[in-house]
Amino acid sequence: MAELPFRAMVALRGRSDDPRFLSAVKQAQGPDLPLEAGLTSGDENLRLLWLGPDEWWAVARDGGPELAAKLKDALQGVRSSVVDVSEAHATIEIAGPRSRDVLMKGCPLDLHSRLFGPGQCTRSLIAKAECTLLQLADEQSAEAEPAYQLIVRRSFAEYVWCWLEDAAREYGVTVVAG
Amino acid sequence: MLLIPCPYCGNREEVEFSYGGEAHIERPKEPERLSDAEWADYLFMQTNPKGIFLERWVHTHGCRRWFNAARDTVSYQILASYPMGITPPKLPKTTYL
Ligand SMILES: [Zn+2]
Repeated sequence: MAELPFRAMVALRGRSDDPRFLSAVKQAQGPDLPLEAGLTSGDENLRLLWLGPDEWWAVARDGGPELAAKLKDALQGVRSSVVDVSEAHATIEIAGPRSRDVLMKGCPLDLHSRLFGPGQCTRSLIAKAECTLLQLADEQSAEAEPAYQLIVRRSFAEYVWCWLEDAAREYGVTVVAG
Repeated sequence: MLLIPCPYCGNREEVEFSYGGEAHIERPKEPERLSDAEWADYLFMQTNPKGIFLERWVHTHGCRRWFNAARDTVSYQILASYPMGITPPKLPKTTYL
């Protein structure tokens, strides 16, 4: 379990049926916008999260203002909204053979690999606090040892962290630097 | 706990949703011409059927979208859900004693 500090998050809204919107986003940041519910695209350097039929997040290691400026630039004249929300959120990574069990203790989602697998994301609840959950798609997130990122409001971060640590205690959790 | 089918996200638990009352109540086109009684009727009066009820839900802790659902008020079974702004699907009539 680790906290990943100072990450960039940009909330992006627009019409998925507007080709100008899609091409402008693509041109600004590389990966294609995921258009199907609950999917992500890209990788740890820049990941795009589907959060609603006209709402996405762009998540990167850092550089929120630059990312937002780049998107705003590319989307000039296209019906859309770009807001840098990096400061509002904290990211917690939890990985390992029992990480799914820990999350399932406080999350209404069915995280069984048939229903929620690598590269999927969704907004939901963790211990009654709103969160955005994604399962990493890289090789460190294998079926037997899934790795998740939980993005929560900054003010919930300490609460969610303490809850997770407590929920994971029976499995022997270790805290590592993010 | 109900499992509610969000038209965008699929089946999700009820805790992720908020309820919005009866669906398909049209806002009066000229509210300023309404009497207090008519306005009150628009705001507060909803039908309370035994059987299929078309109602609004919002996937608050999910995709944050409003949608409509057809729920049987006797069995609580949700028979259909569909995006806002489209005509409700045809559903078989249920009868109860
Ligand atoms: Zn939804």
